[in-house]
Amino acid sequence: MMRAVLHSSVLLKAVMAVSGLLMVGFLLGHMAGNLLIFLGQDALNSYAAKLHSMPSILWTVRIGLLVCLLAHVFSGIKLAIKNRQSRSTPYKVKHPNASTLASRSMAITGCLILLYICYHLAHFTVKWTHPEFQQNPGDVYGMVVTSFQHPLIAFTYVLSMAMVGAHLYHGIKSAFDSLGFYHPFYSVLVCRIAKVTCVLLALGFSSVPVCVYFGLIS
Amino acid sequence: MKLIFEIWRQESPDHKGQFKTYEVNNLDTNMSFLEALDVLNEQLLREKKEEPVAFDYDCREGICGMCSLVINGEPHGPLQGVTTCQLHLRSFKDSERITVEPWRAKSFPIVRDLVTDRSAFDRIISSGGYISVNTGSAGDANAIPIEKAKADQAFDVAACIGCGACVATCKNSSAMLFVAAKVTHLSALKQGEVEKEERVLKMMTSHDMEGFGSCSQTKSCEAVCPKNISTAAITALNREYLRAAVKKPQALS
Ligand code: HEM
Ligand code: FES
Repeated sequence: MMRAVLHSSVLLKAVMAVSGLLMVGFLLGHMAGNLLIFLGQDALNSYAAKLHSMPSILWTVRIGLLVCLLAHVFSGIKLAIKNRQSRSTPYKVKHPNASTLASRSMAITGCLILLYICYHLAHFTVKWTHPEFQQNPGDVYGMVVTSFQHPLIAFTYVLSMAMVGAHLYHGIKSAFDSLGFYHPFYSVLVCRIAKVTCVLLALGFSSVPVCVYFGLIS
Repeated sequence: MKLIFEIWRQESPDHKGQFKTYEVNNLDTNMSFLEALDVLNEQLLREKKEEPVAFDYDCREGICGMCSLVINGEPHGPLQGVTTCQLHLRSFKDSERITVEPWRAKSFPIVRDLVTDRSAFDRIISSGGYISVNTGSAGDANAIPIEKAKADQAFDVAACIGCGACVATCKNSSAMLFVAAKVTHLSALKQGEVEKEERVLKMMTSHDMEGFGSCSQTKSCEAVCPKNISTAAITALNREYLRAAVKKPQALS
């Protein structure tokens, strides 16, 4: 079975689609948690404390995400290599023929997101980039505010969320196609919900660094 | 009417190709694109300096799927829903510069100039794109009743002429639209239902083994298809494949 998956483009795409959609589900939850920052320091910090008080759930989600990410990146790289091998000489006249920039840049936006994930974990989870955060681990609010007052950090986060938005602008609808979901009415609905979701995610996540940087949260 | 053609010339599969520019005068706007190339070739034969440009065609009426030119970056040119042979010079401006390239894909190697070898499609078809019936005289046309909606659905995808424009435009050189058209056409009908699962698995295995890429859903195939085949067929192919893979995993290898 494993070998069949490795050699079938449809099955590899199904792996990408399932892992991608699971990660989208996580992102929605993650964003909802982040937005608690607008309710004040206590709301965010007590939410973080609650999560850390349930290590079994926390670690199940973390391991699940890691499996999704590895499966997604592995099949993404495998497909991207095969797809590049399938092409021959590039055309002299380049024409998009109805394809969107987002759909043509999935591998690039995907790789940038991967870089971002590494930085993000080093920043807030393991705190390598800011060892001073170790001293007061319960104060997530303070950590976020101190970080995003720095223009470069705020900018990096907003740019990365634009990449996530671009990746998902194509990715969510594509995942439904890869899994063979088609219905004359619901497919149109899925397409709309996909676009709204990706805009919500990009704006929702970006709102935190933007508001901190411009002093609306301090 | 005058046109300036910039055409890919390549002597043989092993030669390095290059673009050459030709000016062709005295063209008529009612000529088809292939007729304009005929005029160019007559000119080249008269001048005796260069070999005529090799390009594929057969029916010249949009049904055989042989003609295959990428015109200014668009397979089958700027007009939606027609083949190169059905494209007329009235779709171009006088003195326009037109770049003509062959289908580009590893699995469609160039034979000469604008002619590519598309036998990979024939091998995909022979891997499973058929129905098993006893040979002999054709059965009675209405012996097997098919609902109108089913017949229409099958006919929409049966319109595929196997030209390969979908592969030519795809950033992954994927032939999924072609395979999807064949698979969904045959499995929509009673005659093809028996081999449904084996067919989709075998044809996709053959597709992948021929070196075509995977589908990234950019939908550019649907935009250039001369028969307007929708990528909904690819979604249906994915569904049929996944269902077959679950039902008959042993048929996957
Ligand atoms: C956590 C972040 C990520 C999420 C939520 C996500 C989500 C998705 C989704 C839903 C799809 C559509 C699957 C389909 O077309 O069937 C997709 C496609 C894709 N993803 Fe991601 N992805 C993420 C990270 C990455 C990373 C880090 C990479 C880097 C290698 C990547 C590379 C790709 C590629 C190349 C495709 C397109 C595959 C194709 O078109 O053939 N993604 N992603
Ligand atoms: S020559 Fe037959 S379709 Fe164009």
